[in-house]
Amino acid sequence: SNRSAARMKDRPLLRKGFYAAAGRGAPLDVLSVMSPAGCSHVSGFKVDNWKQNLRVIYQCFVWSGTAETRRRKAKSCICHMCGAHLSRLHSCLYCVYFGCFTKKHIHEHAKNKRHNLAIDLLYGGIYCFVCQDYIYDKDMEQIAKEEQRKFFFFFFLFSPLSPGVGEKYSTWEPTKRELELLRHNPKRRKITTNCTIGLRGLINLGNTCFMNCIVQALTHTPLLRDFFLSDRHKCEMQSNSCLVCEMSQLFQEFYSGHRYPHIPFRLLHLVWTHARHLAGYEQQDAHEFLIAALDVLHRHCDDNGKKANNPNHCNCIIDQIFTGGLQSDVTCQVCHGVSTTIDPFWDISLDLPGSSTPFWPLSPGSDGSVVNGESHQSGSTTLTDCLRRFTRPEHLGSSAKIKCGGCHSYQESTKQLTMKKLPIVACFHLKRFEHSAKLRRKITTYVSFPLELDMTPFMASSKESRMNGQYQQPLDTLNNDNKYSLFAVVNHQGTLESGHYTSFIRQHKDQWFKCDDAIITKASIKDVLDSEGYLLFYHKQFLEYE
Amino acid sequence: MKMEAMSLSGLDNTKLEALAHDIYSDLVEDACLGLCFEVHRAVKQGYFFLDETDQDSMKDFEIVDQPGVDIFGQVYNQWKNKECVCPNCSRSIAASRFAPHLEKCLGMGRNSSRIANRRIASSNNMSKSESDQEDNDDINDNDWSYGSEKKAKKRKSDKVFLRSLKQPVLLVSLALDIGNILFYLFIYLSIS
Repeated sequence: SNRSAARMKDRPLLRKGFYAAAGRGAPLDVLSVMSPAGCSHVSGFKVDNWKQNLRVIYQCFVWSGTAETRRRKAKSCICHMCGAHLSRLHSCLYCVYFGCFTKKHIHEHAKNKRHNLAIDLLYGGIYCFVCQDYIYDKDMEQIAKEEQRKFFFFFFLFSPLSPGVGEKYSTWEPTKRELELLRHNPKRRKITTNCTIGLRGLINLGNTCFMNCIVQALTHTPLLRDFFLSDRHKCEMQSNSCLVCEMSQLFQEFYSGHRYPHIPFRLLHLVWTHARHLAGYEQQDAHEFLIAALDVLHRHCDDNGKKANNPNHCNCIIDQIFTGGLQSDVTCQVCHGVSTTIDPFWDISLDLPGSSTPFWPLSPGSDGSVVNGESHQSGSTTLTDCLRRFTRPEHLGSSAKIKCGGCHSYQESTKQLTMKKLPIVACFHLKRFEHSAKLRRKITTYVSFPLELDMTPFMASSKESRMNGQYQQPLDTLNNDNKYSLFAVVNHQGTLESGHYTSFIRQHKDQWFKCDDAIITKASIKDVLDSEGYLLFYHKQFLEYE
Repeated sequence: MKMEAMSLSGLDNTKLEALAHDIYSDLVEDACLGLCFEVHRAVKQGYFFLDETDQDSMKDFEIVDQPGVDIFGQVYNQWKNKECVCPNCSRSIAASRFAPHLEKCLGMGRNSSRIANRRIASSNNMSKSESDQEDNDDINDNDWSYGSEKKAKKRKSDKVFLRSLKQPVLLVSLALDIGNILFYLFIYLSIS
């Protein structure tokens, strides 16, 4: 402990910088800053069976894992002097005494009984009354860490929260050696709002702009970024051909601080190796590539072998982020019995006006739920219009009768799609490329899309309310479950045969950038919202626990 | 303030709101205290200075918003000479031509079978070496150059066919390839 104090004295410049950093306007006791983190006054405590005693204190009064211990803590932990249970309650380490810190009741006890150590019952910090400061003793901290880990394990084991969260996230702390190295190397960069880190250009490998755009969208999906940057992928594959590992590497490249564009040749190789149906490099469709890439990533995320047992019930990061549930209700026109199926989806493909199938009116008969006129369209088509059309009841016609379980015969029916479960990232695919028997063309109809989208009207639950007679639902502004924000847009310029893909991505809440292969430039929200739009990526605004 | 057990059922809305507000303020205060402890510990353990950055480094990574340059301040289109090593054949390939190379290298796509046939035919003919033949292929395949309209127009009918019938075309072309290989093999064997 004397050594570190000596070292500080030998380096006046370092010391100055250190105080400057530590000061920040708040006055700090110079002595306590200079002294080491631990103190010599704990030696009186560290005798006999002190480790076990300390463990008991942590288990009973600080981190109470079970309902039983929590109840005991709530009932017994009150200040012996004033009865308060908050006010920064502390427990004496030498005897059974609780005193609040704010009113200095624990200080009085310490002085009277000469018990110089106390523990904060909220965060487990140890306070030394001689040093008059919280101290960090290595041995005691080790015990604290172990007890906290136990607490988190038990807490999540016996609670209704999702399993597998038994690990408390612990922030990184440098070791002594690392601290030395960092002190000697003062150059440091931090990701701020005006920082290029996280952005990178991508070389076009020969008409691979379709792939580059999808890579930009994926690397700017916040949850996916957090998953990979916190190193959550544990690879189970034997060979070198794991696409998830390559994805992880891609994030490292994007956050490396390199300015020259990245060459995603390994990614292309891996995707073509694992998705042979994308045969050939001809101008591929960005949407096709997205689905193929998600599929390979999903297959390569082993998720503890669960996939092998039950492919439909995977909990890999891809499923957690992108998979939603689409409900299909087929209603028999005779007995009005409804047959419901729910299918998983990664994207929603929307028809556009201008294709060979008519867009307007949205529903053939009257369905009463649309307030604005359906058949007359003034102004441009909106994304909401497309979604309303997607979720409209569709009469299947006499040539497509369904066998009705209620009537025991083939009957005419209507079919309606609604969202049962929304994914965290909703990808909308505007069907601009028409491939009917005679017609192959690109539909360039402008579709306006919003920055913020509320999916409530398209939910299965909203449909139920409509069917129960509540036609006009006031939009519940307090319900945030279905609110989405735009974060990436992929655009296609040109014709069906030859064209070019570019993308817009969102960074740091409100900054947008245009990604044109190797060239990344700043863009305005207007640029984004005025663009044609081919793939639209929306992120849920509020994330809930399962 | 002594702690006492209390039933919530008898309370009216204002009392409940007041209780909720109390709990909320306690939680906020606890959270703030937690943050204070984190900072205190960082200062005491000596790693608080890590949060500091140096001006020069931050300036290096500032976003540039000027015409003619990208956000890194680089001029457009200077990345012509990038190269990469093919994971399949380990040859060094120009990055902008990697995709067409990979397609042939992995034996995917319509044209790779045509080239394979040519190679088999030429290996019987001793006048040209194999490497020469490969170079000729690369030169002839200006089909693969970026943004080429010629290729698009020439192959329009093929494309319609391919896009709508992906899998069957692949199988048919594979069958044709095998047929070709067997044919040439037969010729070779009958000659020797």
